[in-house]
Amino acid sequence: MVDRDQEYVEFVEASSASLRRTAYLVCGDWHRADDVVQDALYKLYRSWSKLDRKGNPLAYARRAVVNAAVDSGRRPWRREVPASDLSFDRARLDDHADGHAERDEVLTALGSLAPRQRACVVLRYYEDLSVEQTAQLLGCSEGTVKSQAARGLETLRTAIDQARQIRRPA
Amino acid sequence: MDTQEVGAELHRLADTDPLDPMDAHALLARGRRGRRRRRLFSAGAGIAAVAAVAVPASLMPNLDSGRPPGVAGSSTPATTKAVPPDFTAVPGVPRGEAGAALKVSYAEATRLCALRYPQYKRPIQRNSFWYTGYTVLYELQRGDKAAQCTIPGGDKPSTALVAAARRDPMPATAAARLRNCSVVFWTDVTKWRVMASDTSPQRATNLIAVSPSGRKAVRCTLVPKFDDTAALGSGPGVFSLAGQVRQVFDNDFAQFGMGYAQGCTGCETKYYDGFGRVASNIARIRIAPAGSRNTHDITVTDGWYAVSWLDPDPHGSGKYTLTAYDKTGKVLKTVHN
Repeated sequence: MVDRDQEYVEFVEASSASLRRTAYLVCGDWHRADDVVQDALYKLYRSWSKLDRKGNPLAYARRAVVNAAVDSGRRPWRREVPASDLSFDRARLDDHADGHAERDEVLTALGSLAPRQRACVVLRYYEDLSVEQTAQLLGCSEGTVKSQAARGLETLRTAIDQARQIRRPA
Repeated sequence: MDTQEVGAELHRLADTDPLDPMDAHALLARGRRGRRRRRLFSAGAGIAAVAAVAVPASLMPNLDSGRPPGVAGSSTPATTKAVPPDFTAVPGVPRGEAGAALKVSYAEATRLCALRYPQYKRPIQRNSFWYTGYTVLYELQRGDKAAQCTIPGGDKPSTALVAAARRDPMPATAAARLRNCSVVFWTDVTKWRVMASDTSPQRATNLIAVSPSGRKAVRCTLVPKFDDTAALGSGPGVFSLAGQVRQVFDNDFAQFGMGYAQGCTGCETKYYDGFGRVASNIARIRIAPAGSRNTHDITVTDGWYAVSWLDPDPHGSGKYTLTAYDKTGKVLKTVHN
């Protein structure tokens, strides 16, 4: 295998799981996230020799993934829980009864955000990107990132706090 | 709920990935097929489109199913010397990540320990649970020397790999460290990603690596004289990340997350040792022992940290301060033990 291809394989092995997790948080569906990342990595291969590898192919891939996930997320956002996860979650209910319920509420709250707001929240608070990096990635102004992230965060906080209050025993 | 908590919740959601790891070689094959199609199309429209279908495989030597080179069935010259594999299967345990941190019964743990350490004829101790990658003690009777078993995973290392680990027990490169960790755990972690590491040349290298799928991690300690069992009492060396919660950076963390032991018998130096995961906005932690002239900084990546530091100053009082910094160098928090 030529060096370039070996580099690409190593890059995919190292980064695909993390890219898929980001895509999932933005689009809300694991299988759609998988498709989005596979497409982005396929396109990345086409540009691999042109990419300045002293730069950051991960940034390039993340940008492609997030933008594709945002676009796919403009369709109705839905939470799908594969059957295998259900049994996994049930098995853990005995240990962490609250953990499972809280996770559903976070997921629901995230799904209530508009796609771009969700992307801002995910990039700022999951990927830990700066405002500037997030703006560059999404192709918008820093002011937009700040306001979208702040509003998204507030919605998330309120939804989770409300859900916790409802669940609190009387 | 502050932004750290929101971040932690997002991480917890993201850690529930139920899908298999992506097949990098299949993606490569797809990329190559796409490239060849574009080259053919650029030679001239419709006729090239037909040619792309009709050209026999013999004229496209790189056309393959995406299998990595050297797989049985691909054409290799008859003179190529077969290289023994680095790992072979362990009966009854899945290969690779699937066989790591696998819950097993007492009977199965007994069988696996007997397979790995045939020199010990005693039973292993009964605990509450057994997992591959977990270290358990053999039962002690009068006259016995203490012995332990790191329950093996599904990848038995070759003799050559074990010899390489013995020759170079505390290597400097990530690749060699992962090789040695694979020998310790009988789990092929050579393709895992080292998230954090720290080395005290006199004591140990501590590292944490995460699997390609992101679902499992290994905490591995490599010591100057190679030891093929992981340290007892440090919890499972290989563990699943599902349900893992990040440690809160507070005074309890200072007490338990990054403890120290006596650096050597009869002396006052302190050896700081630990690994784990904190909030993702922490980029660096500084250990500052009271009374010592020295401090030690560790890099934190996505919350993952590892510490292995022998403070040579004997005046350290045993009290210390931990300071967390973000990636701009701003102090996030200071805690004390």
